[in-house]
Amino acid sequence: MSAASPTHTLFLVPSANHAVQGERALLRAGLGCRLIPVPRDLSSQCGVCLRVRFADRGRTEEALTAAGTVVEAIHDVLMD
Amino acid sequence: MNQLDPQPVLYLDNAATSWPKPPEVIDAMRRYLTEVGANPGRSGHRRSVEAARVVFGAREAVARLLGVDDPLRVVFCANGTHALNLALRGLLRPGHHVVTTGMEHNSVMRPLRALEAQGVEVSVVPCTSQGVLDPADVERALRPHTALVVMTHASNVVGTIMPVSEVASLAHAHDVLLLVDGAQSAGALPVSLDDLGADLFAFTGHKALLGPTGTGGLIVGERVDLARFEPLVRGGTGSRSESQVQPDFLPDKFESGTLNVVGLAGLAAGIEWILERGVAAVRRDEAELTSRLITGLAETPGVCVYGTGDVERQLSTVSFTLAGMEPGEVGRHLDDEYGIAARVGLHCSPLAHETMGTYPGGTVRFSLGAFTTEADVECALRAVRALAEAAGRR
Ligand SMILES: Cc1ncc(COP(=O)(O)O)c(C=O)c1O
Repeated sequence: MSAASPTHTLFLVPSANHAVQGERALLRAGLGCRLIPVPRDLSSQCGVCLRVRFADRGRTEEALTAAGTVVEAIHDVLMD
Repeated sequence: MNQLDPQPVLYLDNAATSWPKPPEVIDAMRRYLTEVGANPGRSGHRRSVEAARVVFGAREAVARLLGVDDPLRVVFCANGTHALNLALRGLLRPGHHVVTTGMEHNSVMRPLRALEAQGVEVSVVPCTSQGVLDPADVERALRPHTALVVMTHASNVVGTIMPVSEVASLAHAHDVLLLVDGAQSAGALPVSLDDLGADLFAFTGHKALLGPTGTGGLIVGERVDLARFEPLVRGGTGSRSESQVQPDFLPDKFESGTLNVVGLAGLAAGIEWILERGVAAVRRDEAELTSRLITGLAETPGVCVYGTGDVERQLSTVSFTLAGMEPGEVGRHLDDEYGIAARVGLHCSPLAHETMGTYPGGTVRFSLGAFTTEADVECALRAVRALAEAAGRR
């Protein structure tokens, strides 16, 4: 196991529709995010997920919950 | 002016599809085609994500216009007909009973007649010859096995606005869902689905919403049990790709296949155009012109105007006949000699024409739009007066 702490958190959502809905909610909450392809090792589905800075994990979760965006899984990852 | 039009066209067929479209609609479509181009949400690259944003923008615009809280309850379809077929065929099963009205378009009646042949019971509640429905008649038609009431929000033949919220209250009191055909009303009337009480609302994008053809959709309300609502089409959605089974969530369950993204880009721009001006303001202007049109037509000897004649109770769609000249002939003269685009005949609504007593001959229909001017109405009235005189001399 790497001792390095995570750089980002990925929020997996049911579809690209949900991803864009989540992106808008985060934008409104003043939080930055990127929609990126779901890494293969996390899920076999070919969609996109929301990537935020690990430091924003908690606030992102709150903002997505408040917006009613369905989140299926949350992964903390090490990414460039 | 173009090759089709040796003279400038006066377009009074907005109930069939609106024209012209705001330049913003064309710009948005061009932007998608030239700068984005990708399949929405199918691939993770930036262009694909941008296409998904374009689609979501259209969902948000529809949701905002119709007072829907969750944009994911907007299911996009190819047109209003597709949306109505999705709802009717997705919800009704043999043994169910469905209630509808005497003012419906064939996009409701034809799927219902086909379902009837498969064992769905269909009741048609009559309306007056002005197209007015008594909600109490709908309640009387309900049975213990009634699954759905389906009704138009406004007639495409005479523009009569139907008492949807009253019917919604009665239907809900009996635990029956209400599907509203909003093909004519969306964008033309201020609509809040909560106030209206519609559980499902079918809309088309290319009429009063000012989008291009090939757009429309169905709003699926919270009372609808998704587990009992079958999609018309199954296939790729860009989501749950690991599974061979259709997703069970909105909107993906009902949106298989690549959407008309270029059309939806235009639709979003059309709705923004309306929202900027305000639906109520657009409606007020159209009502004023409609009032002039109805008055002018009614004053013309030999002209019979259908509907309530009350602009507060109708959209800017006006049907009339001319004594001594068939609607088809009137339409031909209007087109050939006056450059006026009107729609004549039965308007895909034989049942509504039976209700009005204008079946099978039909009527001449002028339908105004957001770009119709006072001068246009005066020009149309001059043409009808001239044709009425010619018919009177025969
Ligand atoms: C009342 C009504 N319902 C449904 C439709 C069908 O809409 P579309 O032409 O988009 O399929 C129309 C228009 O043609 C209509 O006027």
